[in-house]
Amino acid sequence: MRWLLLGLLLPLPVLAQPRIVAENPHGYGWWLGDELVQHIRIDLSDGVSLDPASLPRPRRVDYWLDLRGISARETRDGIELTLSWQNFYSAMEPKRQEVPSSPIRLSNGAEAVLPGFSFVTSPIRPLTAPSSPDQLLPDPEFRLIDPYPHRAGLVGAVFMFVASFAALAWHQAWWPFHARPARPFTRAARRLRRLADPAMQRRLLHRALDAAFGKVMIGEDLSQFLADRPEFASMADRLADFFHGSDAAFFGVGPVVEGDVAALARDLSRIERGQR
Amino acid sequence: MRRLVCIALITLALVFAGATVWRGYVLWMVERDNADIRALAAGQNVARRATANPNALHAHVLFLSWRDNLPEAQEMLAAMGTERPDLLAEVHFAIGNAQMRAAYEQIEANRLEDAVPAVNLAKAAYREALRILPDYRDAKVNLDLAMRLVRDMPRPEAEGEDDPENRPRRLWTDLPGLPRGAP
Repeated sequence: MRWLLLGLLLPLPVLAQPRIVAENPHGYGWWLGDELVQHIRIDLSDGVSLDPASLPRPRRVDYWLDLRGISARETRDGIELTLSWQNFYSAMEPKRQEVPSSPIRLSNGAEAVLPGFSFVTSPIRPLTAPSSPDQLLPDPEFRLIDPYPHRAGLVGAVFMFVASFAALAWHQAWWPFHARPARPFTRAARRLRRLADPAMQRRLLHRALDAAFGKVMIGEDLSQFLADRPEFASMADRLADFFHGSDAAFFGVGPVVEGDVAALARDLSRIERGQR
Repeated sequence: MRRLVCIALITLALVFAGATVWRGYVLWMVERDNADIRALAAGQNVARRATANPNALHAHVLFLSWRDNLPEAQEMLAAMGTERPDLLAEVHFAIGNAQMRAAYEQIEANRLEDAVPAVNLAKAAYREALRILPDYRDAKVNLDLAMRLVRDMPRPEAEGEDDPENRPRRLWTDLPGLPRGAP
């Protein structure tokens, strides 16, 4: 029985007060409405924490004092509390005000006290200033929305749209980029539409093939061309037919092969612009 | 590859076209709200828009509180949200000023019992403005002025005592005949 009592008494030394260090706001120079920030460091031994329910709630502590907020931050050897107070004491003369202390509880049952502090608050207006209606500061100004950032945003968006559309037009060889030499089939396909003479159409497509190949291209060069520009591989048969047709039409060699040159040029142009 | 670039460029152009339309719409709304604010500043009432931004609501409250229409002003204030604390503090300040003007009218009519609650409402409004913006100097000056008219007094029950919250251990009633709550 005696040992049981001793066992109950033993944990008592653990309930020793933790070390509390307060960094209080300056003691002088405060006005009505000023915010006073107090930092309190509490050194806690391992395994001991602060009971969050025992912290003071943000509230109107007194008729002249608000606790605006309280935040806790874990540190290496304890916890750091930041208490934000607000003074609403309307002083007639410089006067010392006392901020009360608050009790807190630790997880091991020990109790501690968050220290209070005192500060001197001073009047804003002279003691003899009248409190007549003309002393009231007027209503605030009407405030227009600053349109500049919105205008800048619109200009930026328009610029980006024009730039991206221009890039698309360049890539697709639309006007004003339609005459670009790097799109010989596209240019040829457009001019072919206005040409009725089949011989002229063939010539035009041969010039486009020459331009795409980099030098004059004949039927034997077709495999070389397809190796250089594999995107045209799907057109191999129709290109071969086209060369055979040209051999027949211009030199009378081999059988006459009919083919729609304009359609061929159109399809080549589509591949060239990445649409197929 | 070319096909991918082509698709990417079309997507990009569509995205920026959408951004342009959206930006234009936002700018149009801003210009419309600014037109409302100018009208209110010139003393013409305009209907409140559902899409009004905090600046426009601020202008509405200034307009209404200057004309002592406080119920509607409070309604607008509730719609303002907390994204612009500077405007919110100014709005509370304007409402405080309206309460002070009402209090001065009562004082001139020699109805002091009606003036005191008006001043207390004004003090609450200035205090709210300072709670939002502790460095708001105009509110400090007017709150000081209101406090000189009707001074804050300690609550009689709380006289000489800390806030009840600071004494969590005092659970027993002070009623005679009930020592420590026992029967």
